[in-house]
Amino acid sequence: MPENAKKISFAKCGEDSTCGTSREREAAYSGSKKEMTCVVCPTGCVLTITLNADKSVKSVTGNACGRGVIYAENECVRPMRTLTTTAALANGRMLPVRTDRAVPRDTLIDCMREINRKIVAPTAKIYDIIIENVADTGANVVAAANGSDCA
Amino acid sequence: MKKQLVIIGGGPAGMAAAVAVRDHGIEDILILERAAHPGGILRQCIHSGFGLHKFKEELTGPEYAWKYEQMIAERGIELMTGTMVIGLTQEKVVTAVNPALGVFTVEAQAVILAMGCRERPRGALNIPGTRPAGILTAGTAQKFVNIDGYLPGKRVVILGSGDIGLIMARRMTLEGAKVEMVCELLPYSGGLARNIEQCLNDFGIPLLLSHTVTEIHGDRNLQTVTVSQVNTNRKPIPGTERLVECDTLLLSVGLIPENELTAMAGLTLESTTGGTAVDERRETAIPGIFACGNVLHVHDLVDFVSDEAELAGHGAAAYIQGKARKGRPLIVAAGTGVRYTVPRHVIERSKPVKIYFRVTDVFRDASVVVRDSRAVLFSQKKSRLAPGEMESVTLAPELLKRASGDILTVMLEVQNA
Ligand SMILES: Cc1cc2nc3c(=O)[nH]c(=O)nc-3n(C[C@H](O)[C@H](O)[C@H](O)COP(=O)(O)OP(=O)(O)OC[C@H]3O[C@@H](n4cnc5c(N)ncnc54)[C@H](O)[C@@H]3O)c2cc1C
Ligand code: SF4
Repeated sequence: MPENAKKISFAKCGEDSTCGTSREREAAYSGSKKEMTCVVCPTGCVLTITLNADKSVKSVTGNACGRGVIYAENECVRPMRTLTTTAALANGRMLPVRTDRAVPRDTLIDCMREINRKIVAPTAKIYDIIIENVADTGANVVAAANGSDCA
Repeated sequence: MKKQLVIIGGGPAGMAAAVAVRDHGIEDILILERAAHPGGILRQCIHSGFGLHKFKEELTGPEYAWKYEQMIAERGIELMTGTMVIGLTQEKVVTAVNPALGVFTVEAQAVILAMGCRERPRGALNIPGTRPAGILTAGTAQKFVNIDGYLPGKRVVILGSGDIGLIMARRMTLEGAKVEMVCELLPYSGGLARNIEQCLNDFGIPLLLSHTVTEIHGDRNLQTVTVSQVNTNRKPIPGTERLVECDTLLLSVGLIPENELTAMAGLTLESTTGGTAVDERRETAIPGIFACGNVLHVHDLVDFVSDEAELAGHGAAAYIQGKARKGRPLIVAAGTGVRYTVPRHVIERSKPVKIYFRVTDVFRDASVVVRDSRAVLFSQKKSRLAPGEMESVTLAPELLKRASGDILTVMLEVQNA
């Protein structure tokens, strides 16, 4: 069996709320190193992160570009994700929307709640701001299509 | 009706091809699209991850489609929506139907096939048990949730760990459903590593590799499924069965290129890709008929669909303008560890040619090797190769000209298998 298959099988949720980030992979390393997949783009580089004693990032290898370093730094402190979902249009159709920047992963459900309460005018245009400062994250929710195209 | 070029399908492939052809000076173009809007599958892919190669920014599916819709509109390219193509002949006569014109035919000088693909239906799977409501393909569920705004269920099991299944695991979770698990028959996932991370691990959804659904239970509505571990021959291991309560089973078990029209024109379909064989400009065995995008082979990234569509567009423009090509076809064969290659042969050897391929298994520290009948012409080390991620090698003109014989083989050499 390919070795990476073992790593990703049975990824289980931890007890705490910030579950995820490949617990098993982390466990495979001693306290000072971890491995994670960068999710910033489809390349999905496998990053190896060396940590300082205070758990801050000392160095990152395996990243094909600079965004991987920022990703690793966030991931070790507070993971960030861009949220994509839909908002209801007043005519009953669904408008694709997204946050205009990454929001903390632990706020995704709060953002969803706020977006799902919103009814948007069908005249909305792509990139119109639908919700400002969603769930106090500092990010805006913007339309990802024209309301008129969502028939 | 007569047209210089007819494009069948107004998804990202069809639109990018149209733009490329137009930019080569061909004006008389008609895109036929069966849906009410162009954009193809991208309309329901509301997640982001599109356009990083092409536009250097991360777009959602609808945003990516919008970029091309604007390019089509700016160039005044004719697009007929709500129009289904029902026939295609070797002579490039296209038969289509829509409410305004009824059944009509278009005689085209050249045709680009860009019909995309569709999901493998459940019938192909033969899972024993009852046939209750609550079983649907992941793409259908995606359409329900993202376009129609319905959540098909509250407790979900997903069979198949391709990207659509992974994306839907996250999507259903965000909308309030509980995704119990994703089962994958193979010992590895066919999806992108990033999707396993951000769609499953982020939400603590277990991925059970070498597992499958072996029985479906429930009278009117789905109640439980039996999940079993499978052995290396993909056969369920007795004693590993467990019952999982759920009201929804999503099937994400692969896509099949939509090639009825291709076959109708008399082109043969390859068993490996489900598409027809093409050369480096994406021309099929019938001169003047081109193919690109998911109809040719299933792509994981739309950026590569657009690139391929541009090649087909350049090819179709050159064909219409009567630019002749010379040269003996050089066949590009799939060797050890390689499932298929696109293109299948190269005619023009004076330009670099990018060969796309998929591997048969997960490989670590393997070399991608290109050889002719005598020697290795090219070799490149890769730390990881997986069937879910399309790979490519670019062959320089010197290499293409140096090749002896009529066959180049793309293969893997594994150091410590
Ligand atoms: C769930 C999912 C998630 C994906 N995620 C990503 C991602 O994160 N990043 C990424 O880059 N790519 C992603 N992709 C891949 C990308 O979306 C596809 O590769 C791309 O959409 C394929 O484009 P296409 O034009 O070949 O096919 P399609 O988009 O399928 O378009 C084909 C078009 O042809 C039309 N058509 C078919 N038959 C006929 C006919 N007979 N007459 C008239 N019209 C017809 C159809 O209506 C359709 O509009 C994803 C795909 C799916 C399904
Ligand atoms: S490190 Fe850069 S190239 Fe690699 S996955 Fe992250 S963003 Fe993509």
